[in-house]
Amino acid sequence: MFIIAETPVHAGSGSELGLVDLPIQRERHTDFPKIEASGLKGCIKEAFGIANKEIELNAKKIRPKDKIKYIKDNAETELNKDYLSLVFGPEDSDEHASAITFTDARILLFPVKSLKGIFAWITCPMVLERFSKEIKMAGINSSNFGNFYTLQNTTPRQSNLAIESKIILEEFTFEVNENDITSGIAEWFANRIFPSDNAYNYWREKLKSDLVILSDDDFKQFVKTSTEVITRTRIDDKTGTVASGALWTEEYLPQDTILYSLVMFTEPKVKSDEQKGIFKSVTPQEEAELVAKFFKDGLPEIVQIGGNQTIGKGFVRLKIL
Amino acid sequence: MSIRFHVSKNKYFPRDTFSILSAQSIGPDNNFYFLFNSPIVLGEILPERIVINKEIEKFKWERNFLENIQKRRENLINLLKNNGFNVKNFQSICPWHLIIGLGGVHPQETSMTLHHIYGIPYIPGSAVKGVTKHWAVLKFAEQKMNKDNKSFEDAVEQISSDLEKGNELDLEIGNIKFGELIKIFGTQKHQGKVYFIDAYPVSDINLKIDIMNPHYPDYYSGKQPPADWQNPKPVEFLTVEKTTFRFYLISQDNSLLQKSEVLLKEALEKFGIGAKTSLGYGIFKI
Repeated sequence: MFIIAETPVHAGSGSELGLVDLPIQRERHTDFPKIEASGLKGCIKEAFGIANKEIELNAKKIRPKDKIKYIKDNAETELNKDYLSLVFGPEDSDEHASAITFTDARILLFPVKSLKGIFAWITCPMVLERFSKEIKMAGINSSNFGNFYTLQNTTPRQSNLAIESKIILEEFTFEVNENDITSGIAEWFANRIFPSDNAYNYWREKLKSDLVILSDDDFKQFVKTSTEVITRTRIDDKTGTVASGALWTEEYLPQDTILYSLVMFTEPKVKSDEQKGIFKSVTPQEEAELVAKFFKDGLPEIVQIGGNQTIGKGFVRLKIL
Repeated sequence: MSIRFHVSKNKYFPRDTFSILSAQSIGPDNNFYFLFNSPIVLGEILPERIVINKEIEKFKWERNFLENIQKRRENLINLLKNNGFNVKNFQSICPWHLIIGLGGVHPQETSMTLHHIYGIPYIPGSAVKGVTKHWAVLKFAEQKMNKDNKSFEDAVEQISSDLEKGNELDLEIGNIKFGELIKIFGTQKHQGKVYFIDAYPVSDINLKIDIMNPHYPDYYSGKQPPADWQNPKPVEFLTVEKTTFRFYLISQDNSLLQKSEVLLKEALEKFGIGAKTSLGYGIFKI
């Protein structure tokens, strides 16, 4: 599942020793930004309930907030529990586990301002390697692009970014080459990440040409130092100026950051078959597939992740590969 | 449009970047951020003077780029409508100057908020929410003042702190109750029920260099009392003028949403948004 930041996202880690008062979550070993699976899951569950889309399962139409019904002794009985909590796990009991598992959302493409072409999406061999390994695990075949480490400092053909084979990202200059394999990678991502909607045509085309594969170290520097740091203030209503002591900084993943998470499904983890309601099938495998269909069809396109929702932060677009 | 960087010294940039910047002529396919953050440095020895590059007000963004940002934004908002939210939106022009984020970090010490990736001026949701809340406090304070026969300052202080803490007051203006304000803006314990989204420019963006002229610079820097022997020190800074922005508010509660829209429109029209609102900056035509 791809996660596209439509507005800046603050998935906070609490406080840490550093310059920023409210930093974002990062992987311990790489320092790459991430979004914790628990946060991701919670937001998706909430949005599932709000959207409450109609889903067709086993030729019956249900909504996530519908109560579970089952037929016993030829009479229909209704449980005091909805499908949402059956699949995502109950809200305030430890009765059973969830039938959906998310991995932490990992970084895939990171936007950086470019002197030419407005901005570039950067990535690196380590990120690409990890992504292709993980989607293989999920049973998705990507094209074989070979060894990503041979593609350092390359862009697709006809990139808008370069000035005589040099690109300037923030204040740093990189010497880059155009490469056919990189064109292939950019195209593969562009066609799969962005929704087919017309509103994304421009952005899809942009990704096809404005991807840059940097070295692992350069990539790490950018994801560490080029996140959006916003200085917030509170206005004193009495004086109309900044209230004293009310100045703090918050770190955000910039708009247009692209992350991914793997989503795995099992059969509903309840004790009796009756509690499974519409998900009851012959084999656990079939039941897991119904859970997967429930997730795909009921998934809202937009969810909100992380802090500061009320000032429009954290809107992300979800797209299943 | 042909704007040059005028980078006169290379000690502020890595050498390779410097050589490209000093040869580069700026067009709409360049990120404005670079131009805005590379002012002109005068003088070889300290103290150097940093002045604005006057050509930057000629900068024009590609219309196609701005339109595609807007298209995507509308798509986002429409999807939110399908997912259980109500939406209010309106566009409005700021006929004169607007400056958001004047106090931000910038080599010249007077800044303007630019989008972190796109490099376009915009109004952050936090500013939209902040000004709406401030306006609401002023309105309710006026009523409180008349009701309790207090000074305006005390009334503002009380309204502001009660709104912050979520203490219910028996006040109502128009058809907006004080309790509804608490729900709209939220408190430390409860999240606000209305979301204030970033406002983006929808028409061409027009830049304008403006000037402020503090007459007592030594007084403001705390060195001397204000006196007429001090030399005025004009500071030039960039503003946006005659530009239309599109505002969005969303909420699951339609009634709170409508009331917030009324407050926001009043705040934009009568108070103004951003810096220097007391001089008429940031006033919108509703």
